[in-house]
Amino acid sequence: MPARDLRIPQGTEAFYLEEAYVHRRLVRTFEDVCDSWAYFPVHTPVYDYYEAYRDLVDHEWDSQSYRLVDRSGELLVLRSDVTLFLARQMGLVLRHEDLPIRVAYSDTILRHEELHDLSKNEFFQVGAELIGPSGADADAESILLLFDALDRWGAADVVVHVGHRGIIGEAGDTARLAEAVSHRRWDAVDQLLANRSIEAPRRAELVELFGFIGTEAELDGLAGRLRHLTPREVDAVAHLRHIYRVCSDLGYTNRVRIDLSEAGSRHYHSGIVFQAYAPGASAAIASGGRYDGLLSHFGFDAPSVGFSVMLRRLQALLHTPDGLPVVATPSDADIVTRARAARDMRRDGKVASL
Amino acid sequence: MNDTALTLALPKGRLQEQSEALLAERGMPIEFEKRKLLATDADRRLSVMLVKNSDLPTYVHHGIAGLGICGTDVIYESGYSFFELMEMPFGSTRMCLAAAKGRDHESNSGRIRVATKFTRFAHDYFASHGVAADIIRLDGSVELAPVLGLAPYIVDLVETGSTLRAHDLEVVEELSTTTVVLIANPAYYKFHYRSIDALVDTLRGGLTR
Repeated sequence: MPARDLRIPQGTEAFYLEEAYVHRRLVRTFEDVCDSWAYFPVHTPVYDYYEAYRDLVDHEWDSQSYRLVDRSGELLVLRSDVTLFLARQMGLVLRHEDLPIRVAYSDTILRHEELHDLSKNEFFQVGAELIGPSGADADAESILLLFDALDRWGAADVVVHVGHRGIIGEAGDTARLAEAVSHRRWDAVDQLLANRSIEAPRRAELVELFGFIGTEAELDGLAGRLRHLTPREVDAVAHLRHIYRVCSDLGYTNRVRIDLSEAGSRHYHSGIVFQAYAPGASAAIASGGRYDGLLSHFGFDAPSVGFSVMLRRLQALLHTPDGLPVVATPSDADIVTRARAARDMRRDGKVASL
Repeated sequence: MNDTALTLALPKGRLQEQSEALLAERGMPIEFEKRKLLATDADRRLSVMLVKNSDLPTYVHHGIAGLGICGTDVIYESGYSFFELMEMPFGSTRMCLAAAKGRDHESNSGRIRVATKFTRFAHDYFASHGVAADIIRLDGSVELAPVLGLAPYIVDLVETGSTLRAHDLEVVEELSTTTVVLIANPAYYKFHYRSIDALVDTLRGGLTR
């Protein structure tokens, strides 16, 4: 008998038995939640033409994606980001009379991870997109759907931090500024703003605003002191206050924070940006936002907002049952007797094994 | 570990002593029992773990420790990204290119050979400055490389310069300064921002930013 080959290619993941059972239950729960919110299922292709995404992706996405050449010589890319693949599919099939439309997915993604870094096992994503409506109510719907799913998963201690890309845009929408804000590097933020000839008093206020994390009341306290914001920045702050208020009115006061350092890692983010943080997680377990210009890149101009959950990252944090509560039929009976007993037990909602 | 305490990784060695001294000065003395690598302060505000300096970014990246005190040189080599919450009032030093005293740098053939522990930094530095460099990784006693003929140049941290002088080497160029910073795993910070900000305020007490 040949020796077992125990090597596992980097970037792949498999899980079995109880772990797979729990995973499947989490996916089903999410699908049930999405069904009850009228989000229809979609499945994205495993690979697509690389050319379709070339202008949208950054070096990191490029370096993590697996590419291959098909028989006709076309360069393809394996699905490494469901949001982008979904946007292209929606761009292909949607008509304006279809809007608004709500879609949900559960898909694997394939991306290269560094050999030494096993913390980014984002190999299974579930998510939802609301396409058509713009505005704070639509943004709030996306966050409320995420809260509902988290509650149903038993992840009621997850906190969602909501920011707004519009303030970055008003101050000079550069990837470097968004990165500096996201990493809370205030000296770098100040320098980048200075490079855009923004005067010191306004720079100081923007740095303070970008650094803010807190409640609506705390934001009001800060906003009341700021004198150099533009009307668009004031609108963005009001937009976030509205979302906070909606979440608060629905009982999520302690689970939502306004966080202007949530600036988004993709340049196609256009409005709110949010991430969900759980105690014990080494990275955000969910991320989302508004990307109103993304579908237009694929030929269909419609605003959209949505999120994806790194399901395996979440699963590691949940206290879930070990596996199926299997009831065995009497082993000394014949197969017909056992099958009948099992059938009765299953009708009673039990899990019966022959 | 106390669930309500913030988790902090300290690097073993010189930075450990300086970090513990600062924590004690700010009312959070940490005492490790003999051979133990885990401890809490008297008020159970901090759960502290001692780890190898070069491993510290890995522990914080994976969220085993939410916070860490670490040199920017070590962070850069790790390739990980953290929130840098404050610069500590100790441990800053210089990252330098050094070679044998009196070496004729004009005689280089357009390509230099450099031995260093800081391969990522050296690679990025020379690439960004248009210098073709062969980087040789060493894990210690880098100053031996020019003496033994492995490489004419080294990139290393230089504090007083006494180690260089002892090996008849000199600084050719200061490439950057490194500092010691309090870092946070970004997700950990977002979940615990209030207590972390309070800790930073306590540590900053009496310090100039």
